[in-house]
Amino acid sequence: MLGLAVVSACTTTSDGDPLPANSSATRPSSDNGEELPFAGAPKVNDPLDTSRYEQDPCRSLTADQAKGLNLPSTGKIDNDVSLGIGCEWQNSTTRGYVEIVFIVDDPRGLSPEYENKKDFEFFDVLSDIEGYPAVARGNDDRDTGRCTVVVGVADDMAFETILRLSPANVGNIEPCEKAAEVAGLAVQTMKEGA
Amino acid sequence: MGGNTHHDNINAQLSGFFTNQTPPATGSYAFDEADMRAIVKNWLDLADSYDKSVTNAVRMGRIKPPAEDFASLFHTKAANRSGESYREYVEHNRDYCVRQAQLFQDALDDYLGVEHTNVTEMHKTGPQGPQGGV
Repeated sequence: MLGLAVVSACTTTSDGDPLPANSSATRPSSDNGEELPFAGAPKVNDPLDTSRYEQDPCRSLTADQAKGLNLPSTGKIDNDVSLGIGCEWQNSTTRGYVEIVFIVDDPRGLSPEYENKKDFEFFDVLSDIEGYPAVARGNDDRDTGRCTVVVGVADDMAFETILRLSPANVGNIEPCEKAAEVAGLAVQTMKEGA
Repeated sequence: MGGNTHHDNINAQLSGFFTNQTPPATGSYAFDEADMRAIVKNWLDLADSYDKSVTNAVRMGRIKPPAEDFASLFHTKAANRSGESYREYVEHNRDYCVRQAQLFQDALDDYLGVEHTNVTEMHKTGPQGPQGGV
């Protein structure tokens, strides 16, 4: 007890330096110590720092990019997202819809997608999107114009691009190709802002 | 999961289905063309709301056991089963809403004497062709 009191008396404290929450640069492994990646997910060799987009995913698409997709130029934050934060763009006239979701509350990149692939109705490994590995997965609603593409921007961070085509485009456009295109635009934006 | 928001959204959609007019004594409803279009849109909006819940539910399958003991594994299994049931439930509701929209659209098309329009694939029969973007 005396020793403890002496040590306590000699210990000096400092306020420390605050660090941004969820910074990609500070996540060497998952929260429970798993080595990333696992389950056959590809390693991301050139991780992208997406921390500012994790804070505000509406910055992921520029106004010009959104307008080019026939969507409103600004998105709307969606806090009702499980395991993450999202931003949605919806054209109320055409009903075309895009949402970008960063899975910040389960920062394990693409590994859980590969680990759970047998549970999805479909799971397709896509060509790299702007140099980053990607998959299309989930419920198979492609025939009604829906698709979700997940891009691994680091071993411990991924974002989803959830797309729903306007009814006028269902059957004319392959939804997963369009979702991959939108995800590519978002990665371009993030690279420029990284 | 934003249950309250979702609940409010559903209430808002449902309240828009009917006008404030008192229904006639016969117990039937009468809709004009604009009402019918509004009802179709409301059902589709509701379907979209459920569709968001479907994409959220897909993420619920990521639950991992905190440890390898029996209780943790059993709890995780139960949680994932619950997530799967929830996903099926919201998917069923989404599809139900789309079918309701289709019924009203069919009724409207019959009234107007035009070919039936598919509410989810309007390129097949609708007046508008493919659009740019999404």
